[in-house]
Amino acid sequence: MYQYSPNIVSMDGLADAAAAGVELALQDQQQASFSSAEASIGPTMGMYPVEP
Amino acid sequence: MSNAVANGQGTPPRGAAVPFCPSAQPTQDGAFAFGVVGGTLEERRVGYLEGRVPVTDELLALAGPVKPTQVFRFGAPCAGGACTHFDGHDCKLATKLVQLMPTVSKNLPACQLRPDCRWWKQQGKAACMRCPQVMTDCYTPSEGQRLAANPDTPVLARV
Repeated sequence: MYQYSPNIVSMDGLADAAAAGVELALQDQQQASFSSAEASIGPTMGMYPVEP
Repeated sequence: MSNAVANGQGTPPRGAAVPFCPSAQPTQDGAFAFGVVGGTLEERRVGYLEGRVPVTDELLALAGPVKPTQVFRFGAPCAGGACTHFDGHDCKLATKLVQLMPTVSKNLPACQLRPDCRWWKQQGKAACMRCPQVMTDCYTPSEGQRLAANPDTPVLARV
């Protein structure tokens, strides 16, 4: 029997969770720009299309 | 948030024949959101949605000025050979996730994608215990995420 982690977002809380996620993404972008004037998004940790 | 989106209407049913990528692009056919990035900048963690939320303009608008993949985790049918991470049999990204990134959860996240998830089917609990730290796109990935995400990083040989 597995135990489940409680980090659940309710459907009613989706918009608030997304707003917090946007704030986090902006902080992430800002931190990267402190390190480098040419900050860019890192490699995609997910589906990455094969180049034709 | 409309009732349709909040109720997860229009989301694909469980038990799909094709395994689903748990870090897909919202533009892929059959994509839906199943997680939202939360936590802190130092310790970002995905919160798992109670249901599968279809990709709509309304959902994507919630990401505002950033890419939806910086805010949400999307699932979609695995693209197979159309994805650089697929080697013809396995998802190399799932393998490297387990090899290069630490566990961040003692328990399985309450994830709505798991029954159809390629990473789960391939790596089992080891992938799920690392999954909450995965952000599809971000500016300051951990070293482990940067390495795992790079298609040129080799998969370590199994011993």
